[in-house]
Amino acid sequence: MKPKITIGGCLLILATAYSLAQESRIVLDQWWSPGQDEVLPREKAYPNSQGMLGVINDDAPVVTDGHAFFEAIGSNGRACVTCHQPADGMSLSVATIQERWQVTAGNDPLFAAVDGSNCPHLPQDDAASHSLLLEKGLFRIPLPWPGKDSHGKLITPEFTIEVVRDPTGCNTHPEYGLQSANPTVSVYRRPRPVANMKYIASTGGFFNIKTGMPLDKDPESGRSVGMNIMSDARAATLRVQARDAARTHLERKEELSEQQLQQIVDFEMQVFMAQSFQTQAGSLSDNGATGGPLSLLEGRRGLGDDFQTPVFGYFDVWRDASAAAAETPAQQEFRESVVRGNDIYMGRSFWISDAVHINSIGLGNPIKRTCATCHNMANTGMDLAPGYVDLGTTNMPTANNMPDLPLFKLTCNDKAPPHPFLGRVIYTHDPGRALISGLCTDIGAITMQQLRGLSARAPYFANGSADSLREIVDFYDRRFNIGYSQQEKQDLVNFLSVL
Amino acid sequence: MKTLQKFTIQVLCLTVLLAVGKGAFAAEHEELVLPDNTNGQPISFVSCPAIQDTSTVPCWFADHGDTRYFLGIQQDIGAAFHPPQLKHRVLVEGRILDGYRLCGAPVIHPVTISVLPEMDLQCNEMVPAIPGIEPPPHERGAGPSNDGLEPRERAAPQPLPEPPFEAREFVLSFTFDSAVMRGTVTRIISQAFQYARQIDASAIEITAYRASSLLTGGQELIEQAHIAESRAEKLHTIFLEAGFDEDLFSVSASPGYLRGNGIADHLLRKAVIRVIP
Repeated sequence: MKPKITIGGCLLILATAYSLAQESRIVLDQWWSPGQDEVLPREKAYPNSQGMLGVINDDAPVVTDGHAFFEAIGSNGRACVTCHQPADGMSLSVATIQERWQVTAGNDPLFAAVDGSNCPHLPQDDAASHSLLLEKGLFRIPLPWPGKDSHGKLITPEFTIEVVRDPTGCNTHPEYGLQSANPTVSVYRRPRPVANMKYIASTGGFFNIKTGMPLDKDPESGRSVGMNIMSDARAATLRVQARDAARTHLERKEELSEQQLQQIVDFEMQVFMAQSFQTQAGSLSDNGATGGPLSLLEGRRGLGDDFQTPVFGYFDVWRDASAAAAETPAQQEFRESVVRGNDIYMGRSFWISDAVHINSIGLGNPIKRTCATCHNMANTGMDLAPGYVDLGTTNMPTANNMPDLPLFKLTCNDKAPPHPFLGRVIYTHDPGRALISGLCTDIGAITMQQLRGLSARAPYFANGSADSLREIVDFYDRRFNIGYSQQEKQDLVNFLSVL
Repeated sequence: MKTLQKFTIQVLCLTVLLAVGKGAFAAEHEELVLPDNTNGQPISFVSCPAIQDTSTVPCWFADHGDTRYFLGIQQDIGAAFHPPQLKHRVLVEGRILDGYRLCGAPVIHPVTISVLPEMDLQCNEMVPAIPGIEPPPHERGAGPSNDGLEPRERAAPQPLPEPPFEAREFVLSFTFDSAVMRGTVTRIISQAFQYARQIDASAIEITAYRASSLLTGGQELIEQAHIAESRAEKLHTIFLEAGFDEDLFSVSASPGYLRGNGIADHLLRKAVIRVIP
C-alpha cells in the first residue's frame, strides 16, 4: 500500500515558505544540484509565484546518490536534473536561470558553452553570450543538416535553408554554422517538462492521422510511438531522448549503460507534477476538487475533448458555491473564475485557421472549434495524436517579435507540396519538425507542450516568446482573432495558473 | 446552456421540416443521410470555396457560374467529407442533387473535394451567420464531442479467408495532385495488411496512377507528372514499415495518365494493391 499523500497537510508550512520566497526572489534551497545526493521525497511542494507546485514520485522516495538522472554523468558537470528541476515543474524557469547566474557568477554548468550560451565561440564569462538563456530560458539545439530519419537514413529535404539574420553568430560561424564542415542549424528552445510521462510517452496505432504515414517506431521494440516527447518529435522514446541528451547537453563521451538508461526512464515514468496550491484559490484538491498531482497518478489516458470526460475536469465542484466551501468572497470569486476559464477552454468556439496539421488534415480551414480540440489529451492538454503543429509561434508573419533569434529563409522545391498556408518561401526562427522530416509541410511545426505546472516554469512556447500566461492568451487571441473579453482572458489565465 | 437549448430547438425544427419534406431523415444529432444520386447531373469545376457561419458548425460552398453550391459541413476527421481550405482553390467533382437545398443552397452529392496544393490568397470568403441558414443535422457541434465514455462502434471482424486463397485487389482513391493518405485510404490499406498476413502473401503488387479531370466547361485538368510515383513510393514505404518483406513487392507507377470524362474522375486517381497468395 502506498503511503498517504500529505501535500494538503504541508500547505501551512509551505505557505510560510512561499511568503519568504516572495520576499527574496532567490530561493536557493529549491535548486537541485547534480550530485546533491539527498533523497527526493515521495511528495514535495515547491513555492512559485502563484502558490505551490506539487511533485510526487509514485514509486517511492528517490535516492539520488548514484542515480543517473541526478548525477553529473557527462563531461561538463551537468545532470539531467540541471535542466529538469523539480521546483520548476521538471523544466527550468528563467527566474531560476537568472538566480543561478547570480549565485554562481555564471559558473554553474547550466551555462556550459555547448548549448547554455548563444554559441560556443563567444566569450563565456560575458552574460551577453548567454542572453537567450538568461532572458528567455532558451538552450541552443544544434541539429545536423540535412538530418536523419528515425531509421538513421539521411533525408532528402524538400527545401533549402538560408540564414537571413544571425544575431548569435552561430549559424554563420565557420565551425558551428550551416556552411561548416558539419553543416548544422542552431535553433533555440526551452527544456520541456519531464513529468506526467505516463500520458505523454504513449504508444500509438500504426498511422499518424495527421500525415497518413506510419508513426515512428521504438527502435528497440518496434512498436509505434505517440511522437509527442520532443519539440520536433525527433526522439521516439525516452530512452532515445536520454541517449541524445547525454551526448549533447551533458557532453558525455560514451554511451549510457543499460542500468543508467533504465534508471532515468523509470524515474521519468513515475514522477508527476501539477500546481497543488494557488494563493487565491487555496488548495486545489480540497472539498472535492481534484487539482494537484495526486489525481494524475491514476488518471485516465485518452481523449478529453468531450463533455463526459473533459481534459481537465478537476474544478467542476467549484460551480456550486455551497459545496465549494470557499473561506472568503475573494477565494470564491477566484474559484468561479477558474471554472469559467475551464468552460472557455472546453466550450468557447473560435475560428482556428492556417494551423498546419490541424487545418490541413481534413478538418477544413478554418474550423470552428475550441482550445480543447487541439489540446485534447486528458490530464495534460497536449494533442493525443502527434502534436506537432504550426501554430505560428516561429514562422513569420505570426511569430512574436524575437530580434535576438536567428531568422531563416526556407525555399521549397517545385515538386514538393508547399507549406499549406505560407507557400514556398517561409521565414522562420525555427523550422521545427521540418528539420527532422525535411518536409515543407512541417516548417514551423512544434510539438505542443503539456499545460501542467505552468506557474512554475515561465516563459512559455518552445521559443520562450510568451513571458507570462497572459501573453499566451494574448497570442492566441491575436493569432486567431478570437476577440476574448478582458474577463475571459483573466479567467483563462487563472485557469491555466492552477493546472 | 441557453446555446445548447437554442441549438436543440433549431436542429429539431430542421429535422421535422426535412422529415416532412423528404420523409427519410435521421433523428436529431444524427447525420443527415442523402440519397445515392447515381443519376444526378455530373458537375466538375475549380473555384474558391466559401465558408458560412451558423449557430453551430459552418457550411461549405463553392461557386460554379452564377450558382453557389452546398458541399458539406464541418465534421470530425473520420467523416467522409473533408472540407475545403481557405487560401486554396478546390476541385469539386460530383453530381447535382435535385430537389435539395442545404444551408440555403443547391447540393452537390456525392461530392469529392480536392484542395489544390498551391496557395491562392483570393480564396478567403467567410460569410457571417444569417438567421434561417443552419446546417443539416450532425453529430458534433463546434465544441466538444458527445462520445465520452461510450464505446465507439467497431466494425465486425471479417471472417478469416479459407483456402484456396485468391488474389485480391484493394483500390485507393486520392484527391487531385495529392499522395496524402487520409483515413478512408488508410483503412483500406489496413485491410490489405490484414489479408496479406492472413494468407501469408507470396507477392504484393502496388500500381499507382495519375489522372486528369474533365471539367464541366470542357477544360482538362491533369495531375502532376510525378504524383503517381509519389503515391507508389509512399505505399511501398507504408508496407515496409508495417513489417512486410521487401522481397514481396513489385512497385510501379503507371506511365502517362488516365483520362477523365467528367464522370467520377476521382476514381481514376488511384493506386491498386494486389495481394497474391
